[in-house]
Amino acid sequence: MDSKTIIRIQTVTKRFGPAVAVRNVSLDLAEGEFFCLLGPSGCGKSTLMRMIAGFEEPDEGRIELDGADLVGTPPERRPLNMMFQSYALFPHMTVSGNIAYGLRRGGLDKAEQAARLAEMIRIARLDGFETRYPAQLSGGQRQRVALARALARRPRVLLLDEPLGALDRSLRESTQAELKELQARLGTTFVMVTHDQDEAMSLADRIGIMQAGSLIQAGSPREVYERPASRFVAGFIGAANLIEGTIIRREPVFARIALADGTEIEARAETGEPGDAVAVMVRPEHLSLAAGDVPGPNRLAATVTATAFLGDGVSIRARLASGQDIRVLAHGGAPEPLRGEAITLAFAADAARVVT
Amino acid sequence: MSAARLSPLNVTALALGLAFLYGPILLVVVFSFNASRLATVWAGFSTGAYRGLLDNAALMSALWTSLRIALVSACVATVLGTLAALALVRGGRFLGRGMFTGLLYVPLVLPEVVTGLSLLLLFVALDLGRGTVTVAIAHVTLAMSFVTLVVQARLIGFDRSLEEAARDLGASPLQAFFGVTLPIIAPAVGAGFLLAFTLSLDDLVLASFASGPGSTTLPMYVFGQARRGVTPEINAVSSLLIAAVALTLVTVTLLMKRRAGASLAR
Repeated sequence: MDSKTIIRIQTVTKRFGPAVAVRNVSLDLAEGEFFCLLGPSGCGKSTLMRMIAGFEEPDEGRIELDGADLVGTPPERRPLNMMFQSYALFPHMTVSGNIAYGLRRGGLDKAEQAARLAEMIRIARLDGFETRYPAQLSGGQRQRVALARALARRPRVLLLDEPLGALDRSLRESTQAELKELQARLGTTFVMVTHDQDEAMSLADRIGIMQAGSLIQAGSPREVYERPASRFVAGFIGAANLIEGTIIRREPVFARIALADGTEIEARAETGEPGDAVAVMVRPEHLSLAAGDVPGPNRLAATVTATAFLGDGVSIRARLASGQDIRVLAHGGAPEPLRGEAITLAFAADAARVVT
Repeated sequence: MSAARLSPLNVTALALGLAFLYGPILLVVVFSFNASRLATVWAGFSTGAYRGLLDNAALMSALWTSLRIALVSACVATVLGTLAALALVRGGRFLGRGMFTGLLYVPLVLPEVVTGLSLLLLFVALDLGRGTVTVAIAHVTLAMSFVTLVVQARLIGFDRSLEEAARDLGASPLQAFFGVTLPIIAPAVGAGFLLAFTLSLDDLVLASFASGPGSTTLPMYVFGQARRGVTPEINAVSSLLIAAVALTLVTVTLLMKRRAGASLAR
């Protein structure tokens, strides 16, 4: 991204008593991007977002918006808004009242406020619901009120805390598309917290993966999927087979790894020295069934434990000689192996990565 | 609920229980319509006792004193009680928080005679002339605990992210409190106020200790009169008090049941 940085997070640490919620996180967010903070619950992603919003202050480090330090500025004076996980709609106010709440303090005159409110009602497709109370709305409508309320002040950055978490599956997918479309149209920087990797992959321009308070990797969905920085990222983003082994030879781009049973394979490697215990990540779709009697590089002997026909392909679960389970996604047309059958799996060294 | 049928035994038990609880009260109401001056002899229906109330200057003065004290003490108890609830729920783990929470129950269980006596000693020690002010102070000490308990229950269930949303949308902490928090906890605050009001209106013991000349409350007047013989007039006053308290309790129950927004949403 060559657009300008809107939020700069510098070496931020936050502790709650003895527990470290956010550990030395540095991250730049570009103007207009859709950034997802992804991680399991308790990884610190919500705390990091709450520090951007101003509900928590970092113990160490700085958070800058447009080059100005935000630390110490109360939330009401930060030009960014947040959409809360529970929506936090004011139950004693109507849809209009909720959306207009922030507008009343935005320094706009009455006519501008009314115009902005009408615009938000239209964008959120809430026409006809203006005088309803939150308790009278469906989950999807409440979600749209919360979004409209947070966007009404035209924030520099919109923070979204698990915005789709309360919706059911089918509604969530259509809402994802709407959210993405809205973000592209408004050009507002969106920062979203989620634990759902599918959601992050389909919405984000860039994903930041957090684990135990640390930011492990930040990059485009393709980057984090194809070049995960760690075993954790590999396993968290998409399905991954992690085959344990030891590096025996290191080349500029590739490394040669010996598995416990003596099999040697090759994979792309950015780190690691000979002797290091590592894992080789191979995505299920990059494994294919090879004819057992044809020798070649990167072959794994395995026994089929289960198969499932998926329409456009076959999902195979197999067990390696080492006892490790492995998942294969064979494309349509491949003959479906039988349970208990001995198979040979092959993969390109390019598609495999050494992770530590 | 509807599936379970009441057996004859249950009906009998229920009827006996209700009769035990409300029989005496019902008797008071019935005899307030007695045409006879003697409390124990039924001489036909009459509303004379109620009409006589308005002409009874001493009684009207006692009623006026009671209402004034109830209003003032309920207002003060509501403000102090709500502030105390906010401190206890929101204040984090400050020193003595557990002790303060426990102390809330003391006025509820302490015999009123003891509270009254201790207040009397305090007023004497402070050389505070006893009158309506001291009665009101005494009632605040009792009612504040009730208000705190009621408001506390509501605050515990309050979603803090509502306040954060208000802050996020540009409201100062004070604006967020008055614009969002207070309207949402208002039913509990209202219930607390009504409880405080009725507690003050009903109280005899504390008032007896804390009052001085010219500050006779209605219960004190009724008690004084009843010792000289129960008249239909006393029954009529009592009936009106019962009606007032019952009405308040129904209102409190409705307020406490009311979920924020649910009842507004109509």
